[in-house]
Amino acid sequence: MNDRYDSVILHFIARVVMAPLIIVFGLYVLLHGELSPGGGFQAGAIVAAALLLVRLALGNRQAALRIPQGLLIWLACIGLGIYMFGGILPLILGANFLDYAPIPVEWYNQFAGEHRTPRAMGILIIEVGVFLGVVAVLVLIYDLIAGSSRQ
Amino acid sequence: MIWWLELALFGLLVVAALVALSVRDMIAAVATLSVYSFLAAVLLALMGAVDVALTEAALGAGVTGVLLVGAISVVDRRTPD
Repeated sequence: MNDRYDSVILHFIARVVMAPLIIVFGLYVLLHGELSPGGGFQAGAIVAAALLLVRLALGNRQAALRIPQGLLIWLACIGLGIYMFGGILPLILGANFLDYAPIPVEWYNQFAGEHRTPRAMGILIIEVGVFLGVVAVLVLIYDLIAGSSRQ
Repeated sequence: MIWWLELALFGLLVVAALVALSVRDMIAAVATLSVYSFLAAVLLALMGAVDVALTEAALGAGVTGVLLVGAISVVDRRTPD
């Protein structure tokens, strides 16, 4: 599990074909979460599965160099911080905790050319935070288990 | 509608669960457990709970199998009972 298994077909399929497709689908599930099935947790699980696929194919020692453990812990904390930001921002603007109604979205709608409601914007902020936390913690659990294995 | 498809999937689900319980090799048990989770995800998608099916397919059939294989590489592979 920690060592590299030398096979060109395995590395090509895992790194070039499968992992980018899975990551793009996960980001679609994240960004389309308030309209279609999906959301932050599902997108995080899908993207974490793609990262674990690369780790299984390349061997943990080589793949873990790209995303070190400290960065994963920071990503999980940043995700929690984004969630707290999405909860406290309406509190500052004069509404209840996690009540997205007063979030300003006019600048975003002008910038992106969409017609997003404040609640959809708030849900998107929350889901980005959940996404970062789920991805970082799932990959971190795998790294810790693989780091303590004998092979 | 397609009740026989759901019935066949449910039969396979029960068979996969029983095989995962009775098999001696732990790696085989984990593989059968992944089959169980994927069949459960297909059944949930057929029943209209696409949200739960996404989670079950990604976590139950993907990440849990990888984590259990990692845990088996720490302990013994064959179970005595």
